[in-house]
Amino acid sequence: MGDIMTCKINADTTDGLKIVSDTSGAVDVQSNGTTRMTVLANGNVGIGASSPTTKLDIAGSILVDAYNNGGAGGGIFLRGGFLSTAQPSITVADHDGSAPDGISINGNDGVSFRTSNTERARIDVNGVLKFNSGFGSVGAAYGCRAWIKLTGTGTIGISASANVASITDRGTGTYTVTFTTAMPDANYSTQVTTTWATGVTEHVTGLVYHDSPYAQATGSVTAKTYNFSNAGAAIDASVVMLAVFR
Amino acid sequence: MRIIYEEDTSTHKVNVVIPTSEWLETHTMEELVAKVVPDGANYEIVEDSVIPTDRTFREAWRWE
Repeated sequence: MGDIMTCKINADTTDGLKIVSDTSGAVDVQSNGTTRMTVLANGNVGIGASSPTTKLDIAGSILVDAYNNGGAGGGIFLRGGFLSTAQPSITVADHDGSAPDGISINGNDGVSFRTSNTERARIDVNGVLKFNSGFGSVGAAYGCRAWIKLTGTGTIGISASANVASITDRGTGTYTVTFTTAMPDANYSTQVTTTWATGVTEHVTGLVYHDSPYAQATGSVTAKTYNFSNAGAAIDASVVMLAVFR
Repeated sequence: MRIIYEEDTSTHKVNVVIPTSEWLETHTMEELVAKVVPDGANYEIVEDSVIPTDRTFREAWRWE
């Protein structure tokens, strides 16, 4: 009877419904003879966890169905009073215009990725991707902005590419690579590599034009493959590989 | 498909544009024309088979 006297369910018109424990014991919510939720005396709430160690301790999975309830921009917000994707948050996002089935992670002064409690990569406040590959988190990763592998003899063909709209065959050993998405400026670095047919003794290598007749531009770059043992005469290489870094 | 266009009306030099598959997934040949062919230049969209495979005299290809 003593326990019954100190625990009560109270309902009135001003306070709504209260389940009250006046003792130091926990409040348990049970179904089918099993405790499903526990509220400790210190206020920690456990769902499936009988000894919650944080404000909310869930032994199992959590469903935050923002996809079906509000869509893009809904999710988990990590700063009190700011239900905004501009604040630290993990929300669903619609990246391709079809459905909010993407994810957006936002951190105001950067987003870090860690393993073994060590930071391995970070997108800093300026959007610069940095990763820990010997440089620590201070080393920026510079991206390959476009690349292509093409066959330069016979029928000119493209084996594979990225961020390349087309190549223009301008003549023997001369190819303009047009980018799908332009570079932010023309101060990028380009690497050209060539291969030559087995057994052929020509000394073929590649370069890119910086100025005349084909200026390096934001939208395209022109490469030339040539025989440096023949006064630099242009020659078709069997394979040409080009990569742009910025 | 390929685009051939006249690079220079005095020399009649011909350039051949080969689109990437990634471009054709989301764009048309006409959009590529707008992107790579200089304004006012003579051009034509042709089948791949129109382009000679023997490049021995590539420097002699001319627009007629």
